[in-house]
Amino acid sequence: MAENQETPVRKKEKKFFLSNTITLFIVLIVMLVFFSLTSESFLSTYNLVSMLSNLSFYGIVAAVLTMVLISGEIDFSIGGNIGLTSIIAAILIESGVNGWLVILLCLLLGAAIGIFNGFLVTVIGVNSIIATVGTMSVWRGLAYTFSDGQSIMAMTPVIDFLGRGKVLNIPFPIILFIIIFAVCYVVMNHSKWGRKIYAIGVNPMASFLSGINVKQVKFLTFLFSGIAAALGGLILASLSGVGMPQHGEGLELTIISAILLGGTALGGGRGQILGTLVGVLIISVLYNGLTMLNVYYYYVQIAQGVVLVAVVATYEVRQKRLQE
Amino acid sequence: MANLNVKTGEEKWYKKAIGIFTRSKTPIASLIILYIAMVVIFASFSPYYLTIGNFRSIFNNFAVLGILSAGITIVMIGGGFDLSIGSTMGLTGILCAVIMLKFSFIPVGIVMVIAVIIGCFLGLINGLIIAKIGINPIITTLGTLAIFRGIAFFWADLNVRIYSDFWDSIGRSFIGGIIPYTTVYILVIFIILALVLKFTKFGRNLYTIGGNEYLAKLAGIKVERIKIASYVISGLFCGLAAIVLTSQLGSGRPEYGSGKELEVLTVVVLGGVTVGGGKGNYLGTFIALIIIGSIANGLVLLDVPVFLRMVIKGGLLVLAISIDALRNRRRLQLY
Amino acid sequence: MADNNNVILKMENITKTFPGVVALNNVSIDLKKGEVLGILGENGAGKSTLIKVLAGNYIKDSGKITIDGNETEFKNPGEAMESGIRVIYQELNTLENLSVTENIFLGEQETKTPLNIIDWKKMEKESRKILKQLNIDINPNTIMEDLSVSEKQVVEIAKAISKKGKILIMDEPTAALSEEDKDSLFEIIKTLKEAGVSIIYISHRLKEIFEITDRVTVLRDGKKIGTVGTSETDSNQLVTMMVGRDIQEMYPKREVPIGEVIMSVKNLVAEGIEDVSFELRKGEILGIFGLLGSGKTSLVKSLFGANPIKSGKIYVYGKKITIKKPWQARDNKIGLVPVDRKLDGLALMLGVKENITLANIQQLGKGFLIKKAVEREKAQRWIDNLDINTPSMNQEVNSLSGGNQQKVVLARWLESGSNIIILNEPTRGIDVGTKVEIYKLMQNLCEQGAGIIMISSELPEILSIADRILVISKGRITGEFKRGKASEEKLMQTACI
Repeated sequence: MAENQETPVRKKEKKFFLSNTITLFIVLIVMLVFFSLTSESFLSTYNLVSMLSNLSFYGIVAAVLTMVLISGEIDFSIGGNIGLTSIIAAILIESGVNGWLVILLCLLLGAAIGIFNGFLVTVIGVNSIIATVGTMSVWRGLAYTFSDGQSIMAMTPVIDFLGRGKVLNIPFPIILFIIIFAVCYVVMNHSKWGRKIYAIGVNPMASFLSGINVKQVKFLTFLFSGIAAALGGLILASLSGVGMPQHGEGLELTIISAILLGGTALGGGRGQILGTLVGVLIISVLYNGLTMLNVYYYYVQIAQGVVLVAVVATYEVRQKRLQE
Repeated sequence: MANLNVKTGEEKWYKKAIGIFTRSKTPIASLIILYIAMVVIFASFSPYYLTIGNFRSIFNNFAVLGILSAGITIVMIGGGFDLSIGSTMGLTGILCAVIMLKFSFIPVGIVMVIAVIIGCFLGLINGLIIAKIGINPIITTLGTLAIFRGIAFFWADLNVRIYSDFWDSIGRSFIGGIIPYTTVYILVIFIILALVLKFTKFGRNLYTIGGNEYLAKLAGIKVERIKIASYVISGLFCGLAAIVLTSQLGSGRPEYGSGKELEVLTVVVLGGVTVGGGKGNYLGTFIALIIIGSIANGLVLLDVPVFLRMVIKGGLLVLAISIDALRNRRRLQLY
Repeated sequence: MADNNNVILKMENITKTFPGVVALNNVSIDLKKGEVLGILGENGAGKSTLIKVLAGNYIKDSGKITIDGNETEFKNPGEAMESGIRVIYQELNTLENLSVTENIFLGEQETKTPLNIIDWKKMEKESRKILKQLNIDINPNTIMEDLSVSEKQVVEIAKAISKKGKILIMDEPTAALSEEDKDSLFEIIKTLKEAGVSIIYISHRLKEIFEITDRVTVLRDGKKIGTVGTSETDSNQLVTMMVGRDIQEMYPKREVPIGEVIMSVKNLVAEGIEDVSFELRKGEILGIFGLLGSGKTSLVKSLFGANPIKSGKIYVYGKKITIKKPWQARDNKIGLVPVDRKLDGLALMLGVKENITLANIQQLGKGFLIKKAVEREKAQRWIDNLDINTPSMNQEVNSLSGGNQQKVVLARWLESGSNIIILNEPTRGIDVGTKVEIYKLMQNLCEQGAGIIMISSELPEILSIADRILVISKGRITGEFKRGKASEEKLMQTACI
């Protein structure tokens, strides 16, 4: 009696992410080969290590921000957050506060920033793009106000170690970067909370009607993104030795590009932490390689914009083709 | 049937007062109240505030902001978004300055036309990517924001002076020494666009697309074409804004207009244009423009430090969008 | 047919497939000038797909459409409209923050020369005229959101008839209408008919089909079963064509002993709900019937914490409970299968497994992490128990058929141990075979001690499956019928109070 026309189609769907990641890996390798052929110093240990140390501070932010994006929101205020924490850290160090306490206070500051963003988005119900474009300017403005637009030295042993220390000859920020990526990976792929983030990103209403506390989950993703950005600010202050109100300016473009490159969709529901990892690597290699070739900074900026639009365009076109 | 437990009774006055801000369908009433309150505050702090000279400078200073807001209102009513306006303006401005420097034989009038064409062209690029390929407008314009800015630096990485009296007069002259030319431009632009929204098919269809794109397609509206047109219009006004800006500053600089998108968004959102589209009008945008312009002016008069102004500007955007969210709360999702 | 010159529209061998389903399989219809052709079929029979293909909303996979003897190919709705096809869709398609006039003239505003300026005066005048024709007193300047659902439906009709079309398609136009509104609609249909307009009238209400149509085409499971002249047929023949089997077989009903009260709702007031009280007993299927906008969906939403309750009490197993959020409902063992499973029920891009466990993520292992083995075991159990037809538990639910998707949503609540299950239109968009399975499933649940609240606008379904039927209108309960004591007429009458 069953006249069911069950025609299970679209096995392609599972391969979709796989082939994207592979494509990205190929792009990465091609870039590595290209830069090592065109620039002698690109492949030097010194350059590679400094590149990795540099990418680690925004890689950490990218990993956590990926969660915010998968949940369907966005946080543009990370750059301002980084600038503000670097300044606050420097001011605290200048006034002789213990290094550990500086770290704690800065992370708390990051948490407060995250809570404020989360409050705007989940409690008041503001669109997260506009809310965080606004708070971005608030944090940045505070950074300028507190520092009076000046750079402030930020040197104290504990902080120095954060960005420039080594464990087993591996720079500490790289270790932090790996740990945080691993944690994010486990959270998104194996934890209950990660599952909720995906579910909310795919369909918030269905998740809500299944008894998931959507607001709470989103609120926490903002909290963590605030803390991660503060950590990024600390590492950057340590790497550069100064707190600067300009720290992290324009970084939201770099980080969001890296995440979108990695296959995360704006609007939520689709994305992988590993994808973001590859995205971050590609962006850093591009950046570093072009700089090694002495390409003018603004061309790098153009390249970044083109890469962002082009990559998202290919995703979009492929997605359309999959849906016929 | 049992008695209903519905609470009826007079609303408390303060609830009513808050209601003006949070419940009315348009923000116009609350905006006017906000403006009057602001004038009172500023006037009590600075005796200079309520002088004609001050109002003259308020109106002249928000000209660029106003022209940009006019364009983006169209885009946002149609459900779009444009983060690239600042750099579109910057790029157009520097190109004009370079053209005038290197090809000084070209009449200024032609340069103005070129500026408008460049603006439209940049808008067209955005529109094509967004409507034809179907990429999210935020990503697209975030990308083109970087690209246009980079290209601007390609043309010139320094200040390019403009030596043209006519060009200078565009944004700096006053009718009878009181009314700035720019105010006339703003009024003309706002009136024309308000009429376009109300009395053309394009305008009405824009609201439909912003309100519900699927429905617009069902109604046989050519959605792609209208979307592209909206970005072209936004680009056009970026071109016009570039003319006024370079005229007021007497030069083109590649970084002109960076961060301007923040202020423009504040104006438009405060004026009641909803992110996501379908709502908004030019009266709201205009009053919001005056408010934001007056705040900028007030901050200068009260001698608020430059850096703190940045904080206040960001805070204002957050406030504006929060009010908007509270006003639309009833239709917000529950989760 | 006798006179071929009279045929205005021919659709031949139309086929349309979606991932997982063949929605239309070689369907052919023809429509004569000035006639009303009824299209009859169960939910999910392919009626809506057929008209969406005709209206340029979907692009057909194969087949031929001829209008006035010319073969046509609509790529978008605009082209169909230019050929004189107008549609009144089943879902409301109005823009809430625009005026009535504007909605009536959506996309086709009247303009005047020079400059092609919009002629608001003319549009307003026309709107008044049309609304008057429809016998309804609405000011054309009203903003849509201030109208009731039935008034919105009338605006929708006004929109379709505002411009002279050759072919007018009406998809369940009476879903939200009262008897009087329906009568004036039928008057209009007759006038249009005399003016030579051809009408395709889609409905699953037999009474209306007999009242207004000249011929009826019956669809079932995406196939055309046949076309008959309305005057030459009777309801038995149509039902048999529509259902394809005996009505008894279609709506199997097992008697389940009805036990004690497990849920009682007292004087519930919420948005859309005026004052509702009722009880649900163990083993009982409680049907709720109402027109669109009657408050039936608001009622289930408030029972599930998705529509804030202003006052009233809810007792479950004699204990007073508070339901402010869905997780409180879930923890009190209430489950909800929403009306629109794609929008509100499923995370379409996730797998079957993830969707089954969606309401119980916390139960998937002890601490912070998900135990994948536990999850797989749980998912597999429900796939087996409910006979969910899927190639694997990791398959995206998006690619399953409607019936299997519905089972996934149901499995979610069974997994969470719900014993009060609210089903909102449980068989919408589901093929006949799976429908019967769902009914049997519901009765199995009742046997196991659950109570079910079923909201349905499908009259034969609610009449045969529910043990008791509550009729709701304007947010109040206006009637209660025991099984066997109700009829289609009685339900409709009470629903229009």
